[in-house]
Amino acid sequence: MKREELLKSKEYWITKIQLDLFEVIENYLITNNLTKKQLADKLGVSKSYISQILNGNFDHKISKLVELSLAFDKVPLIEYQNISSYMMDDTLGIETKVNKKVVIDIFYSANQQIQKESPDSFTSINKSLKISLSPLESMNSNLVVLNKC
Amino acid sequence: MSKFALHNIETIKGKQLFFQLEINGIKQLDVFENELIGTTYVGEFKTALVLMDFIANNRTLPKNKFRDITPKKESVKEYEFKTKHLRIYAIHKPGGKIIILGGFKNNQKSDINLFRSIKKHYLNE
Repeated sequence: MKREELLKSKEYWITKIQLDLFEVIENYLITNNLTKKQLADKLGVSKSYISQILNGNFDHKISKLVELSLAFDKVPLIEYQNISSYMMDDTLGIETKVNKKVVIDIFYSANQQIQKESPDSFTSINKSLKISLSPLESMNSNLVVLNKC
Repeated sequence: MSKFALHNIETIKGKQLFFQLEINGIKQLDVFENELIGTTYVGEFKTALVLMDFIANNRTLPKNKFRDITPKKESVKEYEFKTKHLRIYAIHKPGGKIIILGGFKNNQKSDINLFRSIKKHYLNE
């Protein structure tokens, strides 16, 4: 089977969402040193319900997905990307989400710094932002070139 | 004597490389996929590919989807990818995995025996 066919299948996206949620919960249990029973009590659900999600068999309503995500201190970001552009990113090995996270983190930390630093240090922050963003800019120009081809 | 070769599975993309074993010109994962065409298991086969894709990207999977089935004292690791009805058997290769065999849950016992026999022949080649 071609990868394109797999990425266009509902099985790919359903399984991916289920497994992503599994990882969120698994990490939450480890980070907070909780058992499944303790987590079930905390959320007010049954232990078997937690086991069902941890088995990667979550297929419930959107409202439940949102509730669960928030309970695990996460926001469920759902992004709709054009399928051909997704295929291109996949071919190039680019993970859009990761790039976005880098940009957000850079601006978030820059903002935090700006609040602490004096105006004189703005220039140096600006310089470091430019340096941090330059790999993304070159990646972006590569994509533009590819799009034109 | 069987002739073995390895083929990169291009559907799976990640930090780990996934190969399928070819035995006497027959690619093991492809032949299993072809067996499933026209059945209700095509969707499950796609799910199995997603599981492999996750492992290829060093992600964590639930134990009921992927498990280490290596017997004690066995040096080359053995793995099983599981969906509701399907099973995919693989072994460790530095930097990735080799898919040796695909089968059905209801034939798991004899498939594992066959898988271990193929593994032994392949490693002794």
